Amino acid sequence: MLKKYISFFFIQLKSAVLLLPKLCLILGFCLVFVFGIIEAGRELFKQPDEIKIPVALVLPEDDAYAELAFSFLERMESIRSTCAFERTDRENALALLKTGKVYAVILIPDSFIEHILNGTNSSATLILPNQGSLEAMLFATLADAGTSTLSTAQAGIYAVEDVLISYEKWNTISKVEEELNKLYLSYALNRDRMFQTTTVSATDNLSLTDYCLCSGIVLFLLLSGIAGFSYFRAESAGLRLLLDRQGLSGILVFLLKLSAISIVYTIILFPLSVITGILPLSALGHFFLLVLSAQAILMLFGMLCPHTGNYYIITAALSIICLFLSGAFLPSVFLPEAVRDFGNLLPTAFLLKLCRGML
Amino acid sequence: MKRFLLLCKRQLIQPVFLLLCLFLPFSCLFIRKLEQNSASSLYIGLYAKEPDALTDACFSELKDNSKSLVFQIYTDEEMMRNDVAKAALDCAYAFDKGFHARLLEKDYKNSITCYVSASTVMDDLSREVVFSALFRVFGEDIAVTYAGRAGIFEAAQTGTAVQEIAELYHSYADGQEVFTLDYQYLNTLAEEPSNSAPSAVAMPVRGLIAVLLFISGLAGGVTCLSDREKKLPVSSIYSISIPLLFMAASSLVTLWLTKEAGSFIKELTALLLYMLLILLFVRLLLVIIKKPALLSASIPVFALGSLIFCPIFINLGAVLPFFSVMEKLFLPYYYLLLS
Repeated sequence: MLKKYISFFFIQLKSAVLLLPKLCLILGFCLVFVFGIIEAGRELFKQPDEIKIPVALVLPEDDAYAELAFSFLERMESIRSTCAFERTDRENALALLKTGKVYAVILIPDSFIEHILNGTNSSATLILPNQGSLEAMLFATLADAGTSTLSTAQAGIYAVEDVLISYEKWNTISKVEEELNKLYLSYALNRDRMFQTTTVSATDNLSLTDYCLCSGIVLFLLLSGIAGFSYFRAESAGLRLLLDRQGLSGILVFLLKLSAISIVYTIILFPLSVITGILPLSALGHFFLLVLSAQAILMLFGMLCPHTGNYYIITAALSIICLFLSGAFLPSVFLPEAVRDFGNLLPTAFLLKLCRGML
Repeated sequence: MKRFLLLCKRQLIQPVFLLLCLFLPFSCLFIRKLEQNSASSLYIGLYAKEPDALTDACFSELKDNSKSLVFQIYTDEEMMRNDVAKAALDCAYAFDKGFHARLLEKDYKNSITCYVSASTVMDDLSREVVFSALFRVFGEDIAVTYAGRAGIFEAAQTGTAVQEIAELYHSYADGQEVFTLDYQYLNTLAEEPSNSAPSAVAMPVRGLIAVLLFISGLAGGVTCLSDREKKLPVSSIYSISIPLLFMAASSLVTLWLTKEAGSFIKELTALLLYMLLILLFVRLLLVIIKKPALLSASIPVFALGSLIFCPIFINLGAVLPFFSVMEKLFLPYYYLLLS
């Protein structure tokens, strides 16, 4: 009986080896992607000052005050180091936002600076990409903080001015305004001096690079399985009957097939991960378990879908949705709490956890 | 036409495919409902070594008014550090002893310690949020201290004037007479601007649909090549468009259910154009690739490329030129542009 099992296992191993050309082709393309991303990132990080948030700025036409005020604003170190403003008109700004060339559009209303000076304060409008995008959330948080800082300084200056007016101290107003402006500005501009950073070391925390690597590995393991339908699909009724007669039950066949494909994947991918320095040699057991779990998911999909095309669509749809919910595409801290909790229950969260354990 | 209907029947007798067509809109709706009923999960810790009125007011301001970050106040610094290490907190802030006095004396260098771990992503941004809340609370002190020390009021007037300044500061800071920012979003530009910013990332339904439609077209291409191998007289256009049609119908319902859809005509036009683009692309691939195995091996490459390079989860094309070139090689980019 054992001999039958071993023979069947070797047949499955042979079938799994036949998937190698496809696997190598996918792996080759993925390596080209990764190499491109690393090179692009390296080029950019040679000049970190070049990484700026592109923002389109729409100023009112022929408003010299607004022009002057924003040219000062652009020269402020904190703004200059994070944002790159592109002055344009409303239509072009919206076109740039739509095509993803800028992350946000700031629309300044007519007579904006005069309104600030006379206390009318018409609101500026911040147009963000579609609600719920990461860029919108991050930029809005930054803009909210900036708005609050600016309005605090205004509230302080207006309060003192109003009291000076009520005490009829007309001559001191401009001097006080200037001094208070400087005072508020000195706190705002020196805010970085207030903070010191201490890194708390922890064993299970991943850096951004490790996080991307981890997500990439799991994404590759699941999506590369799309090409392996011929291996993953359920046996035909005739073959099933034949296997039953030989004493090879459905569960046994599943386990033997699973082991065979996992061994082939591990033989190909693990040495590559060790050579490139991604994984230590000691992570072999962990890696095999990760591959085994991913292939088990793919085999279940294969058993559910007897039709080739449907298998591709279902594998892709379920993998992408589950990976998003488990925090593979964006760190799960950016997801709403209920979504994060739900995502943690999915099998993809288990895969990601296994992968994180290796790095 | 009869052949087209027969092929549709072949597609529809697969219960799993039908289930997926139903699963997609309802799962997206379920996730959207989860998102709507949930707060942000970006936790930031706060701790004051010597709590006083300023730190208490600052912590309350952060706890009550922050939209995208959830602030948790600690009474034990070590516990807070451990929570950062365990990634229960993204990062944490500890305010030094005598913080208020140091601020007043402008001796505030390194007076707040920011604890971060390797997985921290929001330290820079949360620092801006913490500072803005602190500045809002301390702003009153700046005005009041200045008025008291600058000698702009006579000695007898100073006490009353300072009190009036404090009251006025609050009415200005809490009112609408200072600088405000209205928010608008590209997908809802016609609506009135709102003063609320998004607090968490939502599932990118449109991007997901774009990738799934692309994969459906490619899957149709593989079916076509398999049929050719079996010498079945099936048109490649039919084979590609049938799974695409059903997925497009499911996608349209998904967009409508999740309230992502704009006008019906606009959505339909964008979907039809995108389907046409996929049809042409896959038809072209079928001219080059004759083996179903090879085409099936290309599906993960197209799926991975679309997910990484197209602005589905994050738009890196605006800052990384490599991405802005690569995104154009994958069709989902054009659907996102069209809609």
